[in-house]
Amino acid sequence: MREHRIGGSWALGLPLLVLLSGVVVPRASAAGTEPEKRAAWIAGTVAAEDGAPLVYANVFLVGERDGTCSRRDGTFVFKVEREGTYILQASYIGYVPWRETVTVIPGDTLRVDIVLSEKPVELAPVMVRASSFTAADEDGVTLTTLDIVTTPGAAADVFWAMKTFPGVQQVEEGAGLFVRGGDVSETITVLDGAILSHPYKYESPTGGFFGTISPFLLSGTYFSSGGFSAEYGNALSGAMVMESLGMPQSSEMTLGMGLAAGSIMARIPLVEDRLGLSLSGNQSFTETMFRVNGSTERFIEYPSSWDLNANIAFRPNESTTLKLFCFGEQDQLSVEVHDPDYRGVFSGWSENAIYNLALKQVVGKGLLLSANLARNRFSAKRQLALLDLRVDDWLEQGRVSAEYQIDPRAQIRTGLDWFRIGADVSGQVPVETYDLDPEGEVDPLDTHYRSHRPAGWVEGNLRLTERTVLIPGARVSYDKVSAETTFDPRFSMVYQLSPTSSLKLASGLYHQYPALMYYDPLSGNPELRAGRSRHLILGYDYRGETTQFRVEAYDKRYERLVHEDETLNYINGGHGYARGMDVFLKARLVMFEGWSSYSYLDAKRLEGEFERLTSPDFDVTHNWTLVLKCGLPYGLFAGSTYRYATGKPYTPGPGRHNEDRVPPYKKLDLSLSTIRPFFGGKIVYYLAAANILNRTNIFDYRYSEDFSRREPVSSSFGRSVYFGASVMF
Amino acid sequence: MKAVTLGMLIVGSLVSTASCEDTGADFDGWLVRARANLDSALNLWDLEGMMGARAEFERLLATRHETALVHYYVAYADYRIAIYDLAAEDKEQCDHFLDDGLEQVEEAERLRPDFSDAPALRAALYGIKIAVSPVTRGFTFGPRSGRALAEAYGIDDSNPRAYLIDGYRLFRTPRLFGGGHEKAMEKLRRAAELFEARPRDKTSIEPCWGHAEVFAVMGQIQMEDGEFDAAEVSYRTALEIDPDYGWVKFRLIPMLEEAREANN
Repeated sequence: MREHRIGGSWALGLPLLVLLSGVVVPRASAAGTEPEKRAAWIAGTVAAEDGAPLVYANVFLVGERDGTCSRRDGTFVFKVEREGTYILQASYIGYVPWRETVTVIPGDTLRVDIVLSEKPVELAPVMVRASSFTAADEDGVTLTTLDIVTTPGAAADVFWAMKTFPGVQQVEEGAGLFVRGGDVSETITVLDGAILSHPYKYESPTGGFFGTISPFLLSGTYFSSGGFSAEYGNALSGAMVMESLGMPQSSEMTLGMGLAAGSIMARIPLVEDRLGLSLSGNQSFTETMFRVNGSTERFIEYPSSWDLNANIAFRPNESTTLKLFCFGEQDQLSVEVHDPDYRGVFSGWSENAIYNLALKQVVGKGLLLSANLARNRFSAKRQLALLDLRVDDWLEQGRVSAEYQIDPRAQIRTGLDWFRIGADVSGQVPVETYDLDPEGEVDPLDTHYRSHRPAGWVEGNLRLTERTVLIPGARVSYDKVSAETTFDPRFSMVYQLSPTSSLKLASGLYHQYPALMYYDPLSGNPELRAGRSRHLILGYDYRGETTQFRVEAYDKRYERLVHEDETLNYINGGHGYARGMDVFLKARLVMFEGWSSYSYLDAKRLEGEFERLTSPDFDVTHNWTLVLKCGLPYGLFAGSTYRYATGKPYTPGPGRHNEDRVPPYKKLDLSLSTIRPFFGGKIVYYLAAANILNRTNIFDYRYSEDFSRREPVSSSFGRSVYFGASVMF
Repeated sequence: MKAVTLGMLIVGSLVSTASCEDTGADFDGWLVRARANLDSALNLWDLEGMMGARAEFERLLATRHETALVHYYVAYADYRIAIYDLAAEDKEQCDHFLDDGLEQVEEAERLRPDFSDAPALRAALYGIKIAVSPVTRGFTFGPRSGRALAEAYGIDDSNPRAYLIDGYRLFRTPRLFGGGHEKAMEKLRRAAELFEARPRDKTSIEPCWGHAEVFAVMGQIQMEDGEFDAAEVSYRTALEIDPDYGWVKFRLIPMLEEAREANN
């Protein structure tokens, strides 16, 4: 600011001023109790940083009526009746308000030249971090809840919907998230701050068929395919972070019935804005669906499941929120297995229980404290020929974190985690891994694993300049079984090219402990250390009003992967890499909306039984997904999803690990829905047609022991339909 | 030279300095006067006057930032200025005011959750957001506008401005997507009834705008439907309520005359 005073006599100015503003002077003299000579004037200019005058900027004394708007050339002048010290403020839409203390002396003109700075563009978390996507009902998110439930082929499942983003490979038809050349186990799933050890229903080696948590129970989801926060550990590749529903604002009830499932949900505010309850229940019964559509599978017991959820939100005061999330789920199935050497039945049953008490406490103006106490218990039985296993595992966790806004440019977050994990495995397994002969040799199992894993993390969010934000962070973790401490420094940085576009850079170290069974003193190696990956991501992001575009290149290096060893069973001798590029485009035009994701991946690993760097099962070179949706007249809503993926690697013969690829994966899904009024509420009718091209997608081949015969492992359905309705009150 | 410039500036700033001098310092009076200034500027379609009134609300805000009504009136001024900018085809500036208006009205809602006029105004701001770019924004802001109105009705189902904004929304929404002239007229007639049931108190600091506007919008609908006589009655009614209503006097009635002539 330049400020100077014009002398009390006003020299040439006063006579001219009086001449030109003849109306003002008599009015002021007549109305005021003080003579005109006691009045003072504040005059000057308001301009932007580039020198351009700002028209109609509001310049005034705070707490007084004295003030005016700047003119077309940015100049302003106004009279102050009383002497004294005031705060002079200038404000203009889109600019940071300017304030300065000024002293007004009767008879003087205070000259002030004001320069206003444009307001910095607010950077939402999703804008700051590379490789992140969100789903919620807010501005700027990548997917809304409606997107998830109306995406054709996403089966109204969050995980399936996330698979339409780049960086997630189409390895099998299921919910499993294989992220940027990482195995499904390398992605962590978090709900309300607590880690879910079993996030999938109908679990399989590739994850599971559905996500455990329905999108209707969620208020928001954040998915990162790399470069994620130091808050999340024990994951080499990705993070899926979900937030359950908050306080219900009004009573709602939803009843749903489809070809394979029925559901009920109620949201009840018990005490307005203080205490609320959300209840839900789902029951699946797939027999009718399989009978209507036919299937490549022959079920002895059709897949079925139920789940119940109670979510209580309590806000004793404006600063405190407590949320108790209780969830129970059970699923089972029994299906014939057609193996070249064996025909039998696989039976699976599992039970999952999640309890999470989450606290959020605002302290003062800038401090947010969060805490969790959670328990996730999982039990499963698996039977196939000689294999007969029962697994009971649990994860207990206590987490506290604090978030403090130091000033508008700096924030610090830190937290402590404590995990207690355990697993009991009993039953028998074949001596030879793939031996399905009912008369074969077995190893009995009765093992118990336990460990404690404390961890701590810290992360800053620093706006270095108006255009640059840096997020440095670090995480330290300790595992009791291996007595190993890991240290993960990480950082993420964004440079704002314009209000809508930015460049992003992220890098960091990520550790993940092997599954507990690898530490078994007899069949594993208690000396195993955590696997490690290094992420390096560079990306460009554009977010226009109707268009989002993102392109990212990444390089991920794996070290200390678990590798088989003849003497020690397992060692940390594995390594590998995954590098590639992800492209994402989302656009909206009138009634059309859609997105397209493309991923290129090149991944190799020396891991498990591999003898050299080899493409892992999830090395899918090209993935392309195109989702198109369209609002039609009369409340109809139509959508289509097309997916293409390079065939995944398979092993065509002894010693030829993953040398061939199955045919490419191609699938076209369509959907149609409509919302109608229904006895004071509304009803949604939906119809989904999957695999319209009736293509048999092959995911693998099962070979006979001598590799002379093989059976394809293909999708369960050819062309199929699903329909249903949901009533909402 | 500096002195010459200074003198000329003072002449130019007569309006705003004058309005600062002759009003009592009490809050209610200040607010009512600023609102009257905004009304006058609207009738004259005078951007400078609108900005001046908005500046006054903003000055009030600097001292009473915890008062929902002040946030509301800043948002209301933003709404009117955004309409002016839209008519002047300055969409960027229009968006700036709409964004500020939304921020202000949300603050008003936070401070006074039972204030039905706030979500109603938010719905109106969304409506102008759509008008800036109907093709790209309709599907985003249309449902939000509907939800905001539902909130307004939920708080007070006898708020005439909610019905006025709803009527205008339905007028501008194609029948295919749930709008239409009949539905709009139904809401506007209800708005008129409610306005008549609570006559305007110009001394109250609570919002009291919109009564004449109901008939201005009715007239537009009737004009589009070719009901010129009915439109004239509506416009005359609007002018009976507010004889200085510039939009009707200088814009809509001449348009009606032109339409009549073209029809003959």
